[in-house]
This record gives sequence, structure tokens and C-alpha cells, in this order.
Amino acid sequence: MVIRELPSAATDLTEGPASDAPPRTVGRRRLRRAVVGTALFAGLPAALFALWWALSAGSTSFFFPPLSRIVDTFGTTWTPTRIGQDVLPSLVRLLAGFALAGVVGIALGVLIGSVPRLAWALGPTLAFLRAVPPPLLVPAIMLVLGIGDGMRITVVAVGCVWPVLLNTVDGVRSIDPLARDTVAGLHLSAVQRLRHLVLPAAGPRIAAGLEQALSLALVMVVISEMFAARDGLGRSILVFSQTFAIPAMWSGILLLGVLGILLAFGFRAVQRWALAWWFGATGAVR
Amino acid sequence: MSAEPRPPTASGLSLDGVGHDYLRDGRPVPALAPVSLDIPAGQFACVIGPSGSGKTTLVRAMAGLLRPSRGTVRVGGAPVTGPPTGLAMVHQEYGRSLFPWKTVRDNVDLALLNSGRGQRDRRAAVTEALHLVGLPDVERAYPWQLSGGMQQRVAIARAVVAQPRILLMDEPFAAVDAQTRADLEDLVRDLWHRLPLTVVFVTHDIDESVYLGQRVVVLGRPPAGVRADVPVPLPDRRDQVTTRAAVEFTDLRAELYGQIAAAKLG
Amino acid sequence: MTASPTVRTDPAVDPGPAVPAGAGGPARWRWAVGGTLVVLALAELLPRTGVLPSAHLPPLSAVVEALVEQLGRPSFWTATGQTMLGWLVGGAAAVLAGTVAGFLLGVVPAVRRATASTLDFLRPVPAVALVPVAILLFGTQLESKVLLVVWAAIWPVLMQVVAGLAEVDPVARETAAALHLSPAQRLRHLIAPSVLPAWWTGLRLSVSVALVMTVAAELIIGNAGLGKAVALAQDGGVVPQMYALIAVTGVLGVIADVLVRAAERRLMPWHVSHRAGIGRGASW
Ligand SMILES: Nc1ncnc2c1ncn2[C@@H]1O[C@H](COP(=O)(O)OP(=O)(O)OP(=O)(O)O)[C@@H](O)[C@H]1O
Ligand SMILES: [Mg+2]
Repeated sequence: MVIRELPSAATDLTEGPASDAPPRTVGRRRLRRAVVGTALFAGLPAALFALWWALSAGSTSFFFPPLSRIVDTFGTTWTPTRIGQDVLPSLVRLLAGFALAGVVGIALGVLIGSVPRLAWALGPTLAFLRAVPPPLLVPAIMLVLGIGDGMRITVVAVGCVWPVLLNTVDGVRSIDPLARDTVAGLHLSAVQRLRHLVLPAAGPRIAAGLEQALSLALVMVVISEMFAARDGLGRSILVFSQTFAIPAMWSGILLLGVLGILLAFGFRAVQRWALAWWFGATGAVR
Repeated sequence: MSAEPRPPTASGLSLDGVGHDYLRDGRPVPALAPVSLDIPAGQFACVIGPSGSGKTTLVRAMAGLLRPSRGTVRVGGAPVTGPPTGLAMVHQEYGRSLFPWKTVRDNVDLALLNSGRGQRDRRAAVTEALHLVGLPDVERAYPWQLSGGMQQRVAIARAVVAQPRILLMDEPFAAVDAQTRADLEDLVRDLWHRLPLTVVFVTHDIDESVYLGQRVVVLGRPPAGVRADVPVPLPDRRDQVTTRAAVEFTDLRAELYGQIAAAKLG
Repeated sequence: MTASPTVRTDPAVDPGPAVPAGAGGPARWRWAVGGTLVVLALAELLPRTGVLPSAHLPPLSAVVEALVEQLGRPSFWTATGQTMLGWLVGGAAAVLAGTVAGFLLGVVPAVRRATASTLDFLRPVPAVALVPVAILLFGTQLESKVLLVVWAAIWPVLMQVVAGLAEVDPVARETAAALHLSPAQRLRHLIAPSVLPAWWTGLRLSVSVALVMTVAAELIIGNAGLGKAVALAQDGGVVPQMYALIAVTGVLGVIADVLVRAAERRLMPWHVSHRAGIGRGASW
């Protein structure tokens, strides 16, 4: 009969291998692990921040004001109105462009990945287009679409589509032939195959592409706002530096950094949720 | 457990000169010499042969996953041009044929997606299939949380849940330990007894083929085709200890050893 | 297991009748050539027939003409040289710094764990956030370009080295311990070879990120180079010239990728280069 017992399957999928310690100490051990985990996570960043604060405290350098002043300025600079005018539009453009890139990249990627002849035919073209640095698209797209939200969203979408597209193609092409065999005998429709095999199987790869695309999206939005400087977070930061409003400039840099971090962490949370099976499966084999 | 004759709903399989060449760098590489076989409905047939004799190629042709270069496969009299309905397959590598993004239940349910049956009906069928293979209580686990033997049971449950008439198994137990393997062998025999099934079972293992089958087909490397096709003179009720010690078992085993040795040379 | 998605391909399994016979053979090249010719023809015909606005999207022949004309100009070569200088200096500095930092942070498991969150916080900070600082500190000199490039291009190498170190097979580690290898021998015979493939993947990403940030800096800060030339061409309304310059940077990127891959094949013939997996992607 069954040789191995389920480690902790079905009952608690989030826990690692069951510990054989008596239940009394388990709680304490878990607590200790949580404390150590938090210390590891927050320790160094907090220390570095404190160090910056301490070292810059007496700074008289024009370019590097004390962190305390930057933080003060942060509050007065990024008022709700300003955030509504400058930051939100940038974020909306970013997300719209990213979503567009995601949909188009995944759709085209699945198509190209599923039809070898299409992949062969478009291979050289894609290799070239991918190598064109996305920031250079800003002037070209501005020429065609003018300076508006449409241009900025397009810039983000066109710039970010490559990592999604190429990773999707790779993901689809590396689907295990045995998995395809398995599905072949089940007489699934194309949509069912997509839903039950292709998208989940290529999912980890697609997610890797989306992650790259998201960090690129932030860069593209800011570049488009700095290059065609009319509005947005990118323009504000540039104007601060041009008018030598140094603490405000630093507060803007800080804000951009925080945005980048929030986007990255948010993406990772979604990814952990959507690809729980993948983290579980690869963790189990590790 | 009922003995023969089998219930009439199983389908037979017949192969008429089925052979295959793969193309490698544009040149044909013979993989399977023409094979003609008739496997009547309800039979349990084992196929053995040395590595590279084309066993996997043969099974994939039967499953409609590969169009053979020559000959015709017929299932229930109809020529096979794609995966036929009512035919299920279990692969050697359970780890790759179960989907890690689906729970055990959803993996098994995959075979019922297009059955036209309602959600509740399907759920019940899945539960029953998992019971049948001796795996209650893991429906909500993921395959990667199970041992190898359990995963192969899930794969078997998925194969039988849609009530196929033909079950093809390509070295299904090559990757599990000896004890689990014995358990799974008895499981397959048991399923074959309970369900109206024709089974084609490919294996490396001569003992396994004799223990399981009503008939053993020995395949040789191309250009040889079927080198031997022998009935298994063992009673229907088999047992890991007594059957394997029976004189008929050891005699047939010795004979097949000779055949395989010859097949390797030729 | 690695942190990248498992990709299994089994050459012994026949891809089935869906794939045309002789896959990857001469048919592949016929399709590649044919497909590329079609794309080029469309790039010529769509603007010419007015399907696309030719004022903003000129036909291919006009771009080629502009390109040929550019090739005869010293200013074009100067700009190309300036871009390549920034790319090379910034890229080399990033790869060097990323490798050293990756080893320092990754080789001791305790340090690796303590610094992981810091890297996670720093990595998503976009390089463009540093644009104002770069301008204030260095104006349009080479240094401002290099600053942005280094910040962006250090991450792929750094993260790959750290991840590669984390994955040095525990069995290999124990074997090395059992063989009583000295730390130096361990580094040379165990750690370095295990990390090399990941490092190479990081290098490839860093090289392409470095080019992207070089031209981005030229575009928005105005350092001399192809990026600035593109901005000037757009400003001056010489549209074919703008596309010609964009195409040149694309070609530079392709050449760099081909070179890195060729070197990879020579240095590590066993390593089928893989793209970055989850959590290891490039970030700008
Ligand atoms: N996709 C393929 N392309 C080219 N040749 C193949 C392919 N698949 C199998 N072959 C070749 O065909 C022959 C038969 O292969 P097959 O897998 O059917 O043998 P097998 O009897 O199943 O072997 P094993 O017992 O090792 O599984 C072998 O020589 C093999 O190298
Ligand atoms: Mg085989």
C-alpha cells in the first residue's frame, strides 16, 4: 500500500514539513522564527536609514541636505493635491500601458509560441526589435501621437511588450511534450487547452516577463514625462532640480523609489497568490 | 472478481503492418518494424522488448498521438487518425503527466471536462475513481505533495475516470520502488477485472509481463518486428507470492528471457 | 532546483504529427528569410501606399537612404563612439561591481539572509530617479551617463551571483568538505564553476540594460551620443534620420548579444543559456 505519508498535504498547504516537536514548543518556535524573520527583513534597511539620517544630520552640502530636511519637505511637497495632479496620472498611465503590454504580449506570445512556423518567420524581426532600447521609442511615438496620455500609454506599452512577449513564447514552447500528449487524448477545445494547459504551464515564465515589464514601465513613464516635459512625476522632479529646489528633488527621488518598491512588492504578492502551485511544487523538490 | 469472458463493452485493437521511421536530420531512422497484431476486446496484453525496440512508438501510434509511417491501427474496427475516444493512456513519468497547477481532484477531473456531465456528477465520479485506486482523502492535495506511487495512482484514476474501453500503459511502474510496484500491479489487475477494459501494458520487466498479462508480445529492434507472441498459461487469479513461484510462471519467464536475449542480438 | 521555472525538453519524445517534418532544419531558415522579407516589404509598402502616415513613419527605403548618408558623416561616428564609450565604461563598472558585491553578499549564508531585504528595497528604485542628481553632479559629462548605467546594470549580475551562490548544490558542498578542500580550492573548484552559468545570464542582461540606460541618459540629460542625436533629429523634423539612428542602436544591441552568446558557447558549451526566472529579472 501507500509507502509514504502525506507530509501535511490537504490540511495545511502553507506549512513546511511537519515538525515532530511536541505541540507545546511549536508555538514558541514559530514565534521565534517570526521574530528572527522580521529582524532579518527590517534590520539592515532600518540600520542603513538610521545611518543616512545620522551622517547627513549636520550636512551643509548644498546637494546633499540632511535626511531630516528631505523628510520634512516630503510632507510639504507631496500634498494630496499634488499627488492627485502629478503622481496619480503617472500611475494610471503606467498601469494602463502595462496592462496593454501584458494582454498584447501574452496573446501574441501564445500565438507565436504555438505556431513554430510563425516563430521562425518572425524570429529575426523580433530579435531586432527587442534589441532597440525602448527609451528611443519616446521621440518616435511622440512624433506620431503627439504629447498626450495616448502617447505615454503607448510608449509604456510598446516598451514593455517585449519581455512579456518573449517570455511567453519561451514558456509556451517549453511546455512539456508529455503534458501536450496528456491533453491530446482528452479532446479539449482550443480555449480549454489554453485555460487548463498552456497558460498555467507557461505561467511562471509569463510572470517573469511581466515582472521585468513592470519595472520597465515605471522607467518608461518617467522618461516620457522627462523628455516631453509637460506634466507628471518625472517632469516635477526634473523641474525641482532645474530650479535648485534640492530637498524637494530628493523627496521626489524618494517618492519614485517608494513607488518602485511598492510596485515590485505588490507584483510579488499577486504572483505568490496566482502561482502558489509553482512555488509549492518547486519548493517541494528543492 | 469475475473471470473471462469479459463484458462486451470493451473495444478491441488491431494493428495491420504498423511501422514507423523517425526523421533525423532529414533521414529516416527506423524505430518500429511493421507489426501486425490483433488484441481482442477485454484482453490484457503485455508488450516487452529491449530498449529501443519501438515500444513507446507503438503505444503512441495506438493512442493516435503519432501517425505511423506505415500500416493502420484500428480501434473497435475504425481506423485511428487522432486520439480515439474511449482510449486512455498512463505514462511512465507520472511527474510529468500530472499537472502541478491542479489539485489531485482537478487533475482527474480533466478527463471529464468534455464528458457533458454536470459538476456534481463529475465530482462524484472523481471521488469514486480515487477510491478505486486506493486514494481517498487526497483530493485537495497537489500532485507534488504525494509520493511517486501515489502520483501514479492519480494518473491511473485519471485514465479510468472517463470509463475508457482501452487502457494503454507505457512502462507505468518503472520509476517506483519494488513494494509499491507490486501493489500497483495488483491494482491494475483488479481494475481490469472490475471494469470492461482492454489493457495494453508495455514493460521492460519480463516478470511483470508474465505476472500481469494473458498474453505477452515480444518486440525486437528493427528490422525485426514481433519476435514472439505467447499466451500466459496462468490462472486468472494471481498472487504476488504463489503465482511467481508457479512452474508455468518460471518456465515462461525463462523462455521470454531467451527471446529477449535473442532480440537484443538481432 | 533552481529559482527559474523548470523547463524540461525530452528529445526522445516525438513532438507528434503537428510539427512539420524536419523541424529546425532548412525549413526553418526558409521561413526566417521569407518572413523577414515580408516584414521588410511591408515596412516599405505600408507607408508608401498611405496606409501608414509616411510623414511620421517613412518607408524603409527612405530610412536606408538616411542611414547611408549618416554613415558618411563623422558626427555620426562620433556619436556612436560616445554611446559605445558610455555603454562600455558603465557596463564594465556595473558587471565588476555587481560580481564583487554579489560574492561579498552571497557567499556567507547569514550575510545573504541579512541583506536580502535591502537588495529587494534597492533594486526596484528606478535608475531614472537618479537623473536629477546625475545632472546636478556631473551635468552632461560622461559621468552622469555612467552613474545611471551602473545603477541600472549592476542588478542583474548582482542578483544572479547571489542566487547562484544560494544554489551551490549542498551535496557538492558536502563533497568538498569531505575532500578537505581549502577555502581557496573550494572557491576555484566548486563555487566559481557553479555560479558561472548564472553569472553569465546576469552579464547578458546587464549588457542590454546598460545600452538602454546609456541612450536613455543621452535622451533626457543630453549627454553626447546616439540618444541625443535621435532627440535632435526628432526636434529638427528629419524623420528618416531619426529612424536610421534608432535602427543603429538596435543593431548595436544585436551585435552585443551575438558576441556574448558566441563567447558563452566557447567558454561554457554545456550551458544552454536560460533567461532569467522568477525573482531574478532585470530591473531598470
Ligand atoms: N522523436 C524521435 N526522433 C527520432 N528518433 C526517435 C524519436 N523517438 C524515438 N526515436 C528512436 O526510435 C527508436 C525506438 O524508440 P522507442 O522510444 O519507441 O523505444 P522503446 O522501446 O520505447 O525504448 P525504451 O524501452 O528505452 O523506452 C529508438 O532508436 C529511438 O532512438
Ligand atoms: Mg519507451
